[in-house]
Amino acid sequence: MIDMIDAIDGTIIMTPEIVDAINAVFDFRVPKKWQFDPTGAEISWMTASLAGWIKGLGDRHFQLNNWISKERPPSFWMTGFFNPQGFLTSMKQEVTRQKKAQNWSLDEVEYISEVMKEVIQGDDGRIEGKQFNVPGEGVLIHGLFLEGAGWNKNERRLEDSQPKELYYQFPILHVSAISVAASDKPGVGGGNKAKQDLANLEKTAYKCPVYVYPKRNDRYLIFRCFLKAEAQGAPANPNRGMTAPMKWKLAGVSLLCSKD
Amino acid sequence: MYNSSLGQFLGLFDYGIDKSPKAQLVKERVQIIINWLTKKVYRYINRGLFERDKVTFKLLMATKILIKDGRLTSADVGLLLKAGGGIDDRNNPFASWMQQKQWLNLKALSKHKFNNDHAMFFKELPERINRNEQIWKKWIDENEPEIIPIPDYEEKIQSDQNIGHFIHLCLVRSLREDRTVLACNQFIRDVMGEEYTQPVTDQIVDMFEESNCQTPVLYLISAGSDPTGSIDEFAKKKKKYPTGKVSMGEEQEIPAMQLIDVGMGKGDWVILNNCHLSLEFMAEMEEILNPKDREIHPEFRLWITCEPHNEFPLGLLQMAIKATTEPPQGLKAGVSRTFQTIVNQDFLEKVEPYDKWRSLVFAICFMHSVIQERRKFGALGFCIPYSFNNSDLEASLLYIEKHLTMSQNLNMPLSFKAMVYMVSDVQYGGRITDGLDRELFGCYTQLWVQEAVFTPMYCFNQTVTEFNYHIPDATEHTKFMEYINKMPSTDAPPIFGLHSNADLTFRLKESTDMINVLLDTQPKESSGGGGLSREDQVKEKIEKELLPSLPVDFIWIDVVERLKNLKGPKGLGEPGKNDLIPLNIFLSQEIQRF
Repeated sequence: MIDMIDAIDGTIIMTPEIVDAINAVFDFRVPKKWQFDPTGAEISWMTASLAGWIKGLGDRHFQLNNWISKERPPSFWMTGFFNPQGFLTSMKQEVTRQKKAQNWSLDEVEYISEVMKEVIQGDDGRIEGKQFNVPGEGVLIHGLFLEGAGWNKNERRLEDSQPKELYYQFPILHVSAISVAASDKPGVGGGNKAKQDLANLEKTAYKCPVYVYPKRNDRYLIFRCFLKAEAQGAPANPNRGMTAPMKWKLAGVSLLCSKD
Repeated sequence: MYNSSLGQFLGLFDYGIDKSPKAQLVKERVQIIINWLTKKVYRYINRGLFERDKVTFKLLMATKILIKDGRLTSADVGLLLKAGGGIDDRNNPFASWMQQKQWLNLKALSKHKFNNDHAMFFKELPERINRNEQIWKKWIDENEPEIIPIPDYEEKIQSDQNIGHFIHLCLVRSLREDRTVLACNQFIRDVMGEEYTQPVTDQIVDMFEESNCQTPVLYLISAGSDPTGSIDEFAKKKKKYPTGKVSMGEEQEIPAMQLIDVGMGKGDWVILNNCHLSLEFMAEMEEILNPKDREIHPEFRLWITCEPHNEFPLGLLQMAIKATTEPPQGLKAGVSRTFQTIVNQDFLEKVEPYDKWRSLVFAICFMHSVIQERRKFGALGFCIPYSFNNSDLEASLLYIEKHLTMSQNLNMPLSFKAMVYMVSDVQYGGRITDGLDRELFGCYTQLWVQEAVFTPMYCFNQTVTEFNYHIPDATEHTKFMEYINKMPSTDAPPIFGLHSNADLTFRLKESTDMINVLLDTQPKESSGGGGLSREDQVKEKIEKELLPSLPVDFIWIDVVERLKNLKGPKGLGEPGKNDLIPLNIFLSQEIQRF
């Protein structure tokens, strides 16, 4: 930015890059150089508008700064991380170490998640002044949006969205880890039963992908969590062979860290 | 692929002066020429645009005309395109029902001076919304707000003869971005006239009349459309049949050259297909069509078909008459096309047991169209827009044919598991690279390749109420066609398994795509409103808005110190060594990247 002003003032030479940046700022878009390094790898976040980018910069700084200067936040704003996959992997590592006594091993650990009741409104990820029950294991995350379906808070399950409601602010998600090792090792905890539970979930719940941006692809996929797919005792879908998870699959339901 | 040249425009210009009606008064005559030329240029360019770009082009044309008239400024157009993208204001007074983005757009709108000399048209907008919240909310929630009178402002907008329509467009764009494209059509109609919003179909004969022996006709084709047939038909009328045809590709340059050579001598027509496969040859075309040492027979015509390609030689693009061909969109058109090209009566009677075969054929063809149409929903549809084509469909049908025959001969039960696997993982699946898309595709096949499709009148989706999509109970190909023709021409999202809101997603995507294209095509050197140059505006913005809002940098040494004492979860880490807790390591990495 300083470069841009200097170049406009004539103190340094105007390079094509700076001209590009000026044009972008004029159009309220984010200059390329701020988002990609020279090799084309992403170095910051993708937003549609410049104001959104600047706001993101402030909010991200706010979260990291609070964390480093005060303490670990009770709930993490997922959107504000460069590497959310890494965040969850670290969490997995932590839980595994906490379970050192039970001989958990990192490569036999899977994510488990539970949707809480509270919703954190707003999209800047700031949570000061809110009370949480911080779990002993795993982390709370917020800042997710549900696309393609609505959320029934009372029954904590997916439901059809209301007309014109494209996104739903998703409640806090508690993500933790569980060992799925075969339980011939003594005292592992979880083990076969956990594995069985996961397999059951696979059949009845929707395995919802969590993406960084609405533009979905492998690179932006953070992890997948199980969401309850239908009400207890709901009538079978009139389409033969269509299960509740399939319904949400076809509806393209996913959780997103940002809306644009 | 949309390049055209000054030469082409001059040609049109001369043509316009020759052909437009004469008038006594100079003023009248000039007006006639202007109108005539506008229309001609529009038709000329529009013909060569793909469907998705047509509205964009028309909007560009309409705003340009208004700017040249002095009724709009480029700052006004800037507002339409950028809206609230440049401001940040978190105090949205209507936060309970209005999205942040709408609020920012609204704010930008309320501060804007249309055409410089207007007062801020929407200055009181936030206040009025506040006073009349219910009415405004109702308007914003309308299904088609662009045709409903705007609360409070309707009269004021109506009475503005000059740019009332533009102001209306800006308001719709700001508050209901998804309806932008539709509002644009309204705006174009108001500025340019009814005929500019009607779909135009250009006949080959029009293009033929504009072409000559040195001006080829270039068809931009997309998968599923082929103009060769209609050219041939036209050639028969002009007594030029048979035409010389070459499908371009490796080593095809020589026969193509020979045909052109003969054609130039005798006045025959030549069709070169799929020219994106031999771009080098295309680059020579300009010279070939302008030979120095010979006369070209005046009846010679060259027709080129080509998929859009970035490296297509400019010279040829700028001299050719361009037209696009696109297959019609929608499920009905899709299924209908398959039943006209791949499936015929013989095909339906090819395999025993006939009834099962017919059901499966229809189910697979239907699915083929569904997955192709699903792409239009963007990321909500598929993560990656795959280009499935007819060969996937044919291969799937071929496998099912073999499977049915085999089970008939060996008296084995049909294995749906095998069929589903072959269709969804092998044939179509070969193109799918994203794991989640594969799961999605699997859902479709599991639903529509199963025992149940053999029940009479099997319905594809019971939850769709608009139309009963089922497998027709028929043996005749004509009966199938009759059924297909009854299908609705616009598809409601539920048939794809999507929620009706998906239409909103689709329209929103359409609007933002259009706005982005327009932003890219805006001239960069023009100075904006208010007398400030671009650079000065940017400078002011950076100094006043951006720099002050930047956070302070992290100081690395501090960070390292603090990490050591940052507590982790229960039972992990020891004081002074906490920087080794996994999440704390993660934190340090994040800060490093910041």
